[in-house]
Amino acid sequence: MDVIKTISKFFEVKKKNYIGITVSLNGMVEIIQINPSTHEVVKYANSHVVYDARMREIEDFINFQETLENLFREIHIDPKDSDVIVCLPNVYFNFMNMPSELSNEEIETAIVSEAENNYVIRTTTPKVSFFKLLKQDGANPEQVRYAVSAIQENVVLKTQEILEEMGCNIVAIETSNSALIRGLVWAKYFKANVLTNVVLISPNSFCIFTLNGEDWNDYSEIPMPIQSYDDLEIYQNIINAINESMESNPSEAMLIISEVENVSAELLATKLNFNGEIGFIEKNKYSSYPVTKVNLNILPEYVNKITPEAVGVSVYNYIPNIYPLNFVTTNLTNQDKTVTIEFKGQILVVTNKLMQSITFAIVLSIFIIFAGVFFLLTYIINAQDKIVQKYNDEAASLESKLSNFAGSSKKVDIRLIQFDMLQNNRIKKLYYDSISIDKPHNLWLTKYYTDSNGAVLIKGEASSVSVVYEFFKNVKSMVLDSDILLTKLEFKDSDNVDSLYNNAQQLYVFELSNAKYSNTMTNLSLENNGQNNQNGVNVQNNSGQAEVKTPSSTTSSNIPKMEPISAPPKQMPTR
Amino acid sequence: MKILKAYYLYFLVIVLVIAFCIYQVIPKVQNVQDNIKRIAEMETKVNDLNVKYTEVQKRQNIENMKYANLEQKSIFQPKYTYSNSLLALNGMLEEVTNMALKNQLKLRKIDYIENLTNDVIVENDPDAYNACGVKLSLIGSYFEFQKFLNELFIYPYLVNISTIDISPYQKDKRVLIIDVTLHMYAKK
Repeated sequence: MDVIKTISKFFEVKKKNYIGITVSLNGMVEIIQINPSTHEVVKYANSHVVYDARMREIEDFINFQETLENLFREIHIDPKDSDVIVCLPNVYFNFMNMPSELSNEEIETAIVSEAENNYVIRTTTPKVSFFKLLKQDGANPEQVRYAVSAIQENVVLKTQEILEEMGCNIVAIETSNSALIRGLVWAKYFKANVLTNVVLISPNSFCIFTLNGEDWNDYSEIPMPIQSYDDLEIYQNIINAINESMESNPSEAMLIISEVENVSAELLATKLNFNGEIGFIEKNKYSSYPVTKVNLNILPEYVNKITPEAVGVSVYNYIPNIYPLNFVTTNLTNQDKTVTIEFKGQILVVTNKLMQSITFAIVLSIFIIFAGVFFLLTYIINAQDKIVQKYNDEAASLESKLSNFAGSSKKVDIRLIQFDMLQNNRIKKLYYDSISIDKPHNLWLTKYYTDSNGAVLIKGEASSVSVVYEFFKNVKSMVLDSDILLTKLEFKDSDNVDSLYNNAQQLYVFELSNAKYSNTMTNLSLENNGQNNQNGVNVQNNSGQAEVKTPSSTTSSNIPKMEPISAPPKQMPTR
Repeated sequence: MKILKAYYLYFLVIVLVIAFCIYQVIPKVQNVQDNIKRIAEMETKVNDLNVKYTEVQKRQNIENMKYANLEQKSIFQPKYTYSNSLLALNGMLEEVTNMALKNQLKLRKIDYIENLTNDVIVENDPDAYNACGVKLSLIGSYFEFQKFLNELFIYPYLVNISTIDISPYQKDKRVLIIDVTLHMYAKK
């Protein structure tokens, strides 16, 4: 609540003051300001001008202006900072039923026509105002019930003129009946759903306003020369007239208002034989208490003089839909639309300007908040994009590394190949070392062949079988895990039986080779099947089948033919 | 309700402003939500890849440990990059030929095999290595060839002794006619 007040105060710094000005039949001019939040009268002063009650107009408007200026000074408010609503004494007021299809101009014409029955209106140009009543006749929807009022146009114009001269912003000029009811509504004189008759006793008539709760249902004015009665008969005459009216207009409650100096509303209420709740308001010398809450700053001499009309006119903008008569036709755009709302028992007045300010503040706040959110989200998105990019890079790098691994895993590791290669080299060298170092003296080599497939061939001749075996054992012991086998061992000239028979000192031919050599030979023989062997190595297999080329047959011409060894053993080098 | 009726335009403006702001913000919020999902997905993916990579690395380390103790030689790295294998291995060929000559072996003939087809390294990783074969036809004694082999054996770069084919010279059996085919490699 404090926050709302603070905000309201903040935005109302430059707000104009709503000032009500009331002119009564007795010439009393009131100036009043009400705080809508506290319901208190916060500024009030009154003075008098000469008022012609017969012709219902202020006699001297210059004096009226001076009076108003003095009153503004007295309440310490600059007229230029004021939105003013003026209430003038009622001239013509009535309720009228009119067809719903009538335009505003037609309604005004009808009102003027009706108002011309009034002698004051008849003698001048009238200015009319009307409003539609809340309660309509449900049985006759084609008819609309209006509260209508008429006043002298020149009075309105003169009032407008002097107020404009003073620098006031005129919001409305209305008449006393609507202001009275509005003032009573504001001061909460009516109970909800209780039918109440308000009896207003004036010098020349008494009026009965019938309300159901705060809904104004009916109005009637009964002319009565009250001031011409003497004190003895005045009350009885009024009571008789009221009783007569009550018969046709029964109610549950009654409020008597007297604005006649010699008629006490309180006394009248006690004398009246009425079964319901009855109240009274004095607008005369009998007045002894204020009609609404009054701030302590108001001078005591003024407190009891505040009229309900003054209260009603000062709250014209705070309860704008309650009986809004307005005779002002110009400068209406200056009027600031006002809505009052009740919040936790407090009345808040929301003006158009306040609403503009609040809307602007809200829109600005929303923009700021959303801009903040927007930029925060943008920042978050950027940060997220960076994270995503980082993850993408990381994933790409890992995928690339993994694909490298995958690629490399398809190949045989070069280190393994190298190792095999070096092992093969070592074996080749070991075989070579074995044939050069551990060869017996009566054994001669005629061929040594090895290749990268691991094929090994050692061919030679020997003087005896035991020498061949000894050499074979030496080779095997020299080359660890050697897969070499003795694949051939025979007499050199085994076909020549005569020679074998006559000469026991024949040489033996042997051949040491491994399975890889046989495989190489087989592969080569398959490739070169059908070809002659004239350029190939004269390698004979154990079965004496056709000779085949050496593994390097692509360059077979470079491999020397196996030479038949006929020379003595000493011709072979030994180490 | 009274205030709503009287000032509906202001409320409409406020509602429109809120709607506009929400309209602007909603895509951003959706973007943030999508990104949260994407990040979660990417996080899972990266974690999975990390796990996979760690496993693969572990396997690789185990493999490396296996190979760490294997006998290795470095592979020749030429100063410049050549597409031609003979050019790439020119220096090495010269060194090997000189090695044979230095050990009193007589050089009867040299054949170069530029495009090796049946080599295990070329078959496995042709993009990484240049390979070239050289067939040396030599004449010399057992001892001289053994020295040559010993030197080749301690030569710092990888040389594959593809074939050795030895036959004695017919006229002097102490002399050997040696055909040795060597495969040499250079990094690309």
